[in-house]
Amino acid sequence: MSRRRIAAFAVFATLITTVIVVAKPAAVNAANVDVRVPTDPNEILEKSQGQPARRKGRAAAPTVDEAVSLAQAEIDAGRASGDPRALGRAKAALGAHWDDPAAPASVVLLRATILQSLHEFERADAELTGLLARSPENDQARLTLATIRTVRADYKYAEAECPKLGDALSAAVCLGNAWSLTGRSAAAEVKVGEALGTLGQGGAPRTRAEIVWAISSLGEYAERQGARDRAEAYYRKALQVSPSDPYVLRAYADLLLDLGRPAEVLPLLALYTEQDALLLRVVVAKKRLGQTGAVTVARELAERFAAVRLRGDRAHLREESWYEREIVGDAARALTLAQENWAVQREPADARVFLEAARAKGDLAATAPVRALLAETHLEDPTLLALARSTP
Amino acid sequence: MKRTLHVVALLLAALAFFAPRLAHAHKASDSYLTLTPHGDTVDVRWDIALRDMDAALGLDESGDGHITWGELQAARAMLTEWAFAGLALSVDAGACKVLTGDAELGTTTHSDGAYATLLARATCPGDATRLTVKYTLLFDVDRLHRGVVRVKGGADDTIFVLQDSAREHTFEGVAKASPLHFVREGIGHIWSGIDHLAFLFALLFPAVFRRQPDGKWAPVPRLRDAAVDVLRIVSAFTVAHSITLGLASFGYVSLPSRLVEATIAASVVLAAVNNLRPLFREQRWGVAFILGLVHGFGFSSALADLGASRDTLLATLVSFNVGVEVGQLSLVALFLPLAFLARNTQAYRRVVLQAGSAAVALVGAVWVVERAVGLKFLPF
Repeated sequence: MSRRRIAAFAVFATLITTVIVVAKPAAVNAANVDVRVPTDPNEILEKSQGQPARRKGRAAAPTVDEAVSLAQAEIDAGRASGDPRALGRAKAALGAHWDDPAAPASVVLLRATILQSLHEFERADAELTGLLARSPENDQARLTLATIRTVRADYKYAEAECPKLGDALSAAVCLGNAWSLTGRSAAAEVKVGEALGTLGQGGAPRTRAEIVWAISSLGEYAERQGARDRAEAYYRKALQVSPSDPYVLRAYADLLLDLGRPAEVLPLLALYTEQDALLLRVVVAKKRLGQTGAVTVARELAERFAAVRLRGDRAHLREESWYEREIVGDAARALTLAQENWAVQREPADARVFLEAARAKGDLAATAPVRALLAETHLEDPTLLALARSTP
Repeated sequence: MKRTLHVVALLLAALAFFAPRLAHAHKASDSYLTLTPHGDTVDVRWDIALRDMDAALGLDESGDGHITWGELQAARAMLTEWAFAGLALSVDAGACKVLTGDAELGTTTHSDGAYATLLARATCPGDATRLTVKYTLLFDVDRLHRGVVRVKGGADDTIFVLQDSAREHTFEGVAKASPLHFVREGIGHIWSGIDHLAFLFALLFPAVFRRQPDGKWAPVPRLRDAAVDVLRIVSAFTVAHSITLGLASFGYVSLPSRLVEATIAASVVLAAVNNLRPLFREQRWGVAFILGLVHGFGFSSALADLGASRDTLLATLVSFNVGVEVGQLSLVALFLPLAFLARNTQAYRRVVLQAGSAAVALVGAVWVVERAVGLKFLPF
């Protein structure tokens, strides 16, 4: 090639490169590349939930009772499906009653339930404390408050108040949870087992949710005693009663992972991956099985975490910590998340992610608050204790 | 914007086919609002979950448990009105006005399912350097709903999340649209404006030939000859459209856009037919100049669509024009060397010059009819 040709070629190449670099964003309108305009009017975009209930009833302002039953229906639906949108809709259904300091007990209870689900434990606690000061006989408030305090590792309230509950099964599980978390899981298992045994013997009729709550609690008590076979039997029984219960699915999946049976987690959760906590278990199982699909699913989960973080929610910290440690491999970030989570909730599962993250990072000093709580409560959970001993 | 949407839709449909997804996440309700200020206008993109729209408005007209694209489209006016009733934008000089009538509707996907995307433009009484967003959408249906608002401005990219308890936020120091932005828009206008492309190619196809006295084409011996010819044509075109672009932008001349668009289409036909049957002989740069005058009016309506601020019109005009030039020259730079190398082949002469010009002429002719009578036959 002659020198002139080379020079001309160089000029062209530079020009083209410059233009491609400068023009790229405008040329494809990069900001909107994901937007599509379907050509087929029959293309199905999304499932519908039917005609909105609120629009039908918009003509007249709902009474307190109507608002409460609408909100309760949203909460029940959300609990069954694990869909957090239900909470916001329940809150909206309460309308002005949400901010009414003189609202009736039914409204206060719902407010506390919603706040608890949002992990706003202090505000929920305040609502219930206020309600119980006004009407000390309100058992639902007592039970909910005992549950919140137990989650926050304050077991004295449950020990004192659960026995006062009029309903025997609720009283047994309420107390059993506190016992099991303070080194008395065997006694808890006996107590709740007895209360369940009286079912159908002239006792009060039970909702499915109550039975599942009791049986899955038995599973946890058994796990803490190191009786994993018995725990598995309880979880399976609970799933027979309610096959899609998000709480039981999670507990059973965790047990299977601990038992080194990740392959069984996949069919168990296959239908429920819309819930982030359950998708995490799927990702972990796939990774432990060495499945190639793990990467794709992990990316999907990361997108979901990012979306939740973008909106400013902090309800996922426990799951995110596990994800960062086992899937991403960032122990430092996992520990930070576990510490932030520990400030909000202190159940054994929270202790577990904390200890695992600290061990991965090799940071013994960080585990002091968890060790202190384990020592103070005499929690029996062998997995947790072994982890505490071996950290780091 | 619409044209880009169509192209992108095809690409994404192809992608979606190969990428199966999991069940959509269960997530609390969010909408994603992206605001891109240019001077005193703001481009609005708003992604709202179909599930949320359905809960608020009821989208399943057929009652079959599904929301289809047809149902969404049918509800377009209603949901545009509903959505923008939940959003107020203002600048220091006063409230902005969203042109809801021109809003475009599309669909996209976020982690928790399908969303409707509204693309609209707001005009403000002054530059949007301080932009206040007041957000009230959906709080009556879902009090945990949040509006994730992103303001783009040059290099800055700020996100603020609005919620029931904090419904308003002022974005400070939103960068003024930089001249570079309009340069990019100018380049993009050439590259994505298929009629300008067709016209340019019609002029470029024969650039590596010389017309013989008998009307036949002969290859040029040197690349420089072709380059000089093209440079002359492109410069004439540029000078001409700069004149009319300036006149139209400053409001001295105004022509009905249907006439302008139809004449641009006619210019495409003319340029293409000239390659097949000599109409103008060696005066091709003169023709480019006359046709450039027409294209300038077309550019001015594109520029008006971009919403240039009145205070900075001259700078905007220059930037946009530079962009148009760069866009044109880049095409020349891409095309000319290839054409020069291929000029002696039968393939170039038959396929590119003859068939290519004929195709461009045909398409241009359809455009003339479409634009003159206001009908649409071609998908582009």
